[in-house]
Amino acid sequence: MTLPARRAHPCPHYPITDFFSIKSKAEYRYIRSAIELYGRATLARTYSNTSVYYYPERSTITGGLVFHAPLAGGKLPLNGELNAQYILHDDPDNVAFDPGTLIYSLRTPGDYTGDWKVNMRLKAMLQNFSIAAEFSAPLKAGEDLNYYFYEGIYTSSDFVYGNTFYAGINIEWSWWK
Amino acid sequence: MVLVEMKVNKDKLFTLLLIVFQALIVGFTNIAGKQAAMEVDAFVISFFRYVIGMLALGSIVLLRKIRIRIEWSDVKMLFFLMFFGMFCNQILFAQSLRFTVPSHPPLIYSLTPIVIIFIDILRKAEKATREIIFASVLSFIGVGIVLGKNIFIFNASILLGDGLVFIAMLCWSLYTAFSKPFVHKYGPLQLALILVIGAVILTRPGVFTALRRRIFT
Repeated sequence: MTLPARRAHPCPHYPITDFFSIKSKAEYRYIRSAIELYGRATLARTYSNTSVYYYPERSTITGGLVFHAPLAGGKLPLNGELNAQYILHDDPDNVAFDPGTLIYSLRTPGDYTGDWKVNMRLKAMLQNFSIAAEFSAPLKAGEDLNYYFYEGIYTSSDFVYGNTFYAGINIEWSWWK
Repeated sequence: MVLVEMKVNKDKLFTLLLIVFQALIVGFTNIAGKQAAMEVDAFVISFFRYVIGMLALGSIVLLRKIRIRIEWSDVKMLFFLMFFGMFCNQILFAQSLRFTVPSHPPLIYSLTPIVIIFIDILRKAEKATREIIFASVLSFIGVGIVLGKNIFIFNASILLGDGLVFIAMLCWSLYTAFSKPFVHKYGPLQLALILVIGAVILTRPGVFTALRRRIFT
């Protein structure tokens, strides 16, 4: 019996065999009096045994800023981060998922696609109480709400979860004795 | 004496009319922008807006024979201004109009002075007095009350749109707060041209994606 195309790659044997992968990161920080600006680039490559290990992201270029404001004489620290990312990744339509082995794999390597994403985080702390607002959204040309809420950056017909729109308010209260 | 006063008043009236005219244009931008954003992609809108701006400003600079020289030490800050003020602000604003109602962006943009004051406090150019903090909190509460009904009933589309506008507003505030010394150094026309050229280059990949989708789908 011939296996369907998606099952054509070898099933992994556990523990999985070794693979060789490189993840590199370069960052430049430009510190001003009020804010820190940064530019960051990451690169990910897997060179061997790609049938057992798959990572969709190829490169991410990030530009953003961080600020730390010690308001009220340092009693009310306010931290914030704002950045925009350009994520270069495999075209999700070329990615297959095998539910039997729970492995993602690439059908035709080399077809990259890029997506923009914006992220924001503001956090205020007062003693052991903190409140943080977070916002993250992908940006893609010509996409509708379905893309923002359900598909996201990495989603193909085989992926369940992508990198979608997220907005949240986190309230934390730490207590110890 | 009376003639001088009348002239001053005429000048003031003209300035006032210009401000009203500008407010009207800005007001209509949101309504027209909403329609444009529903039909054309945000990257394409921004790209062509910058291209038109670049051609117009470039023509003026060429006609006036103004020479533009960028100092190497300013490149980092100019890139920062272009990235946040031109690129992020414009793309996010255009994209947000697809999802929110046209009345929300100007309301959120009205927080710009408050954010600039906050940046000035961070830079220690201004002191965080009680009055400033009270006024800032009131402004945020006011905007929050108007927008809150959409946030707390989880109208996801408007929440996404308003969130994008809020980030766009932060980007614009950063641009406004940090661009002042460069406006003095290079002149408003030259600075705008430098930044618009950068934004055109950065918007290009998104435009190609949008056009490819439009052509091949």
